[in-house]
Amino acid sequence: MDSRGKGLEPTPPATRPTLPQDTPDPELVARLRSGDPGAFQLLVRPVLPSLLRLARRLTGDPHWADDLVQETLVRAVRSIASFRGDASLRTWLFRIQLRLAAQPQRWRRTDPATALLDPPDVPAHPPEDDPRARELAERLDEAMERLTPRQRTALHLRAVEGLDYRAIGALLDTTAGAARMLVLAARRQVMQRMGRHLLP
Amino acid sequence: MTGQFLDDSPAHCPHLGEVVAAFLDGAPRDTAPTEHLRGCRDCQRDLGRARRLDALLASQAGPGPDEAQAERWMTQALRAGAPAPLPEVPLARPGNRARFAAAVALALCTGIGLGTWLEQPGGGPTAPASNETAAVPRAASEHPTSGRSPALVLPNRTRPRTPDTRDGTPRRSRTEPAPEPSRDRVVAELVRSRRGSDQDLLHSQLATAAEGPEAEALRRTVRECEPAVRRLMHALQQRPPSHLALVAAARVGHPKLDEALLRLTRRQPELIDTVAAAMRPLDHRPGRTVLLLELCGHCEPDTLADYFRRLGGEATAELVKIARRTKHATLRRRCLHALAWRCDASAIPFLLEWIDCPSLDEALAAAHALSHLPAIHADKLAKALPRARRRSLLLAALCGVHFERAARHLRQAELTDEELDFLRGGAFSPPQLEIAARLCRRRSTFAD
Repeated sequence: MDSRGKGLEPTPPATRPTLPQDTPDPELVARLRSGDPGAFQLLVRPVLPSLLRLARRLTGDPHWADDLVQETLVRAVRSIASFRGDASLRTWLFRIQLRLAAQPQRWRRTDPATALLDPPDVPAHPPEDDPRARELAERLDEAMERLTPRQRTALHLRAVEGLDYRAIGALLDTTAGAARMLVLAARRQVMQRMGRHLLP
Repeated sequence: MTGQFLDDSPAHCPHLGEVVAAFLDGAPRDTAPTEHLRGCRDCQRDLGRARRLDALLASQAGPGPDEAQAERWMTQALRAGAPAPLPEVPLARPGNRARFAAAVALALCTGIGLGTWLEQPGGGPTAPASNETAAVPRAASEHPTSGRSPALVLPNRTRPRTPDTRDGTPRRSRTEPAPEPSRDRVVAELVRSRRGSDQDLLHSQLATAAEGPEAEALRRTVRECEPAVRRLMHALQQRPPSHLALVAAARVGHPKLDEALLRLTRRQPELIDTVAAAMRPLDHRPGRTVLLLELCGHCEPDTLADYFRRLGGEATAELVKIARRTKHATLRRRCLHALAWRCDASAIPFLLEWIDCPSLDEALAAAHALSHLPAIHADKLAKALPRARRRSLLLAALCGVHFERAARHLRQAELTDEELDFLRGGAFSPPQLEIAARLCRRRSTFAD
């Protein structure tokens, strides 16, 4: 039988996003802590895509995501002295971003750009996209939005950013085991809500 | 773990979650999941779906910022965040130079202080005490706290009131147990009395007297009196607890009693109505809103709707405060449902804000709460429409509040008469509101 044994290989690490400098150079970290703008550019810039992806998932709106990333960076610059360099800079920035996300009044400066449920004015996906892909994306958005904030964050950090459970647990102030359960529950719920749309 | 082969695999494999998780987390440590997966069609299908989901999430996350945007962020962050070079974190232990400087400064201060004291008339260790200064120790020795150093005791005229006394009666401090003031002598007698009929008397006093300052004073005294609280706890542990004890415990408003009531109602949900009804006539009962919200978890959602409706005006602010502060999504959703039952316009800004929150369930609950507002508030919702992220939800809520005000946004919607009748009907339940939002979703225009 052809189907037997298919898909047995574990998820290869290559499919995970590459992690930009998870253990930064100590010399660069020292320059960063002393307020060197060059070091800040060098270390933080590669993390910006990750920050923007998480911000989009946390806010659900591209304009608000921009606001959140901007405020995260400002807070990071202000408290850069507290970054010891023994943890990943990306995780440290994620922590700042997650804390800020819970206080939208501190960073929301613009009106929302699009309504995820309301595509008529500003469509979330380009009109030339495949309608099936668009529906799939909308369903995924809706399923993700129905998760609790912790579940949503945990699943994003695992599936998109490829963080291990220990890092996710540290970011969500819980244990690695609890983080794993969060990811499993979130994945299960989203899969249930997506139903047949996830079938190949 | 036993392998399930393709021909006889059950519809729902019991190992589904674990096997899929093991593969998604990387290489499984043992061979059992691999063996199982080789023969289990359910797990194979689920693993494929989970991988597709992860791939979809990664692809949907979107591209990173473009160069210009990234540059703008970095520049603004550096400009706003760090006007000056950041200092190094100070070392945990001061260096020798710092220690020497501190010692010199201390010696100088001591020398100057000593010199000033010796130059004063009557100063110095052997100088005779003047009349005024001699009176200080005498006054101090008369003071009940004469164990202190006399030099620290000021004359009565200037001495600030101590927490101990002024008129001879000891004052309460936070650590001391609550005394029994004379005005509450009746309560004190009730509390001191032994179990039996007197105990029932205490409970009946609490249960029958709901309103008025005397009843409030009685509840406050019992709340601060640990023996009385213990006695009520004991009464609640009886199987079954008496109606009097239940009502009395619900009215006192002590955290321990509230916990006991929650435990009790979890086992016996039929008592929820009694507890909620007992709290209803009280104007000031600590923790009432929180207890009602917790009780919602033990009964049907609408059971307590009427009790939330009849809470005082300050309950709306309390519900908003709880919803903002809590980390528990369930409690937050209960707050939103309670706000829907209350139909209080003071919650509109909070609900409009919450309709844009990342959680769709909470946004639906907020829209449901808005849809129950009186029609007079339709303008506030209509004004918020252009700025809302989830406009369809807000429009559906507006349909519930005032359909004619919402109709202009549905002009080009081409809705059928049946659909329009549904939207016009209003009074949506949460599932109906979701349907209404879907109707408003694709077929509306928001151009005014």
